[in-house]
Amino acid sequence: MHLTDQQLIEDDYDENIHFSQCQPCQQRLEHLLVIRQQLSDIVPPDHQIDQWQSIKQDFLSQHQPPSSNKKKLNFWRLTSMSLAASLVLFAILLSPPFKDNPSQASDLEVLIAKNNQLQQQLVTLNGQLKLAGIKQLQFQLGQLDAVIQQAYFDQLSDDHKITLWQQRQQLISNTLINQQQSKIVRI
Amino acid sequence: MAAFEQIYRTYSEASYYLAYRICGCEAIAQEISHDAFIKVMANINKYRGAGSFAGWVRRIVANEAINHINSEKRQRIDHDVEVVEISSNNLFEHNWLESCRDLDTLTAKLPSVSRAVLILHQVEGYKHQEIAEMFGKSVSFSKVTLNRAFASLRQLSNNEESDNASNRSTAYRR
Repeated sequence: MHLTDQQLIEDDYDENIHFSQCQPCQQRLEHLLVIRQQLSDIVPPDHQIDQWQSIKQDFLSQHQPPSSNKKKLNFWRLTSMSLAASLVLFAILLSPPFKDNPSQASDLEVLIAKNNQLQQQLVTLNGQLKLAGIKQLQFQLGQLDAVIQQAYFDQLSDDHKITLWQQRQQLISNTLINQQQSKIVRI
Repeated sequence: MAAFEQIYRTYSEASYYLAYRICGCEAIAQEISHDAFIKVMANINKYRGAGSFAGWVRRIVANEAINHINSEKRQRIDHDVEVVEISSNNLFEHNWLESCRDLDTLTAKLPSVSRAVLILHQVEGYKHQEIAEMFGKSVSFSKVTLNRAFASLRQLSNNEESDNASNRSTAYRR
């Protein structure tokens, strides 16, 4: 029995015995593949306008609250976004646009997720941290993030990156623990 | 911001092309690409590395395009090309696009949802399950829409071919 259009459209023919022996079905598939290729050849008639300045402006206006009270919160959020962007950038330099390269979850990814989670806790503590503590943490995180970025840039081993991410996690954890201890003292 | 700009420079063209293929309009594709990149930047710390970054960006662009189609659909009624019969095994008996001169214009005549499903499944390689999730509909919605898209496209192509033949015949008589 000939393959249905549905089977051809969904590439469900590889192990079909009839298909391997049927000339008309193979011919139909060939036509479909040509049509598919023609569809993927569709491109816009004109080149894209460079929208970077407008994207940047709109992004900043949406994510930079004017109120000075929100400046601290914004700092943590933007710091987190900037680090993520930098790390992603190093990762994508090795892979071309829109080519799938699935990677498995690793210890490193778990550690990064944990860092993000802790950083979120910092965001929620906005305004409760002492100014001196904030300044010190900003400085230390800035230094460590630069080292982490360099590790990605130099394509160092995962073990090396894990050590750095663990240091980062420890740094934020210590700040959070100190914060909790100072709360207890106040009570 | 320098890292974000570099990400934009790396993916902007591919994103614009994808948006254009889905929606078939340059101005709308620019708009979709613009909005999608703001979402990429705002959500970049949610990217967990499970799958390629390119795939993650592509999904955001595709979702943005679908949002646009859905909002557009709420404002007007799509007029589908009437498909006389959707036969189960004769869609690809010949390459009906062989004589098509402008596939871009032809696909622009498809209902926006049909065009989107056609491109997402046949060109971008998304599965019916994924397309169904993007549209918030069932898997059978995706399957039926795809089948109808092919049938409509064939009919549009055949109509165009008949028109061209008729024009040639008129010109010959003159």
